[in-house]
Amino acid sequence: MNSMSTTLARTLASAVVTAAALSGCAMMCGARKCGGCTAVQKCGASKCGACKAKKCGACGAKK
Amino acid sequence: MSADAVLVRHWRQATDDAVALAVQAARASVAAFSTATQTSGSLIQSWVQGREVVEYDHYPPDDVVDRRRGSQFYYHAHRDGDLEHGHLHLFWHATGGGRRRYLREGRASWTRTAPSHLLAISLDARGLPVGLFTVNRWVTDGHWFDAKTTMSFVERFALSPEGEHASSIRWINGFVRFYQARIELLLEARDKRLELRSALATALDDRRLEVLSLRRIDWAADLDAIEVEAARRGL
Repeated sequence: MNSMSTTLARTLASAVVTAAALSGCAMMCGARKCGGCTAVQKCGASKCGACKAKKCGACGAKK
Repeated sequence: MSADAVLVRHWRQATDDAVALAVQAARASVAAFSTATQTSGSLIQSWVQGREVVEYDHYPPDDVVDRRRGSQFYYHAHRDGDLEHGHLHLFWHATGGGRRRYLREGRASWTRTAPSHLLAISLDARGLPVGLFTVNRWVTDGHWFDAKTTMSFVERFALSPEGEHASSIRWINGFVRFYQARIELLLEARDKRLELRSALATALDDRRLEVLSLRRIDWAADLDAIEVEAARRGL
């Protein structure tokens, strides 16, 4: 009985704890919304701040 | 926390076949969760693979996409609060009319539309799922469908468990099946919240409306609950 939750507890005891996320793009341009990868128009740079922030309408709302 | 009372009631009233399917989905997702954790350190690490997690970046970088089945997900982190480390966004590739769209390798299929969002799954820092939520259209773009239609996509959401993300795919396939009844309620709550607004088109683009419905979950307690129900029926 309750074998699945026992397995889960045992698994969690050995799980790696991932550190909190580092701050990303402060500009929060439109390309940094939460859409799927094939949908978003990527900045072209892996690090934010390099983006051109063409669509900054979302900036104020996100932070 | 404890088991979701609505789910317990749902399973209590469900057919034997439905309970058996829920148990099967639960077992598959727990087994895959264990495999991913043992192999990679955690579900999160199976996508992050030792990199630093940067707000809004996608993990894995190109998402996990099953082009044939039209299903897609990725992990990222950016929300404040104690509930989660980050969350998964799940998508379905559909036309505006709700028909599945097939992506073809090497073709820019998504120049006009985005995959449609189904739901998000919050994970804690160990990779344990701790919440489910829905978001407004502006958050992810894509076509917007009502709860009933979106739920029909959720029922078909599945990725073929292949490649380096096979374990996390098995987990998410089983996990979504297991929580289908709760996901349906979340989608209905999402729509009800939007119905309070006079104009849907305006509401869907209202930056003040981001998360539209949210439910904390206790996965372990819900697993216990389905096992109790299955045992009660002698399944």
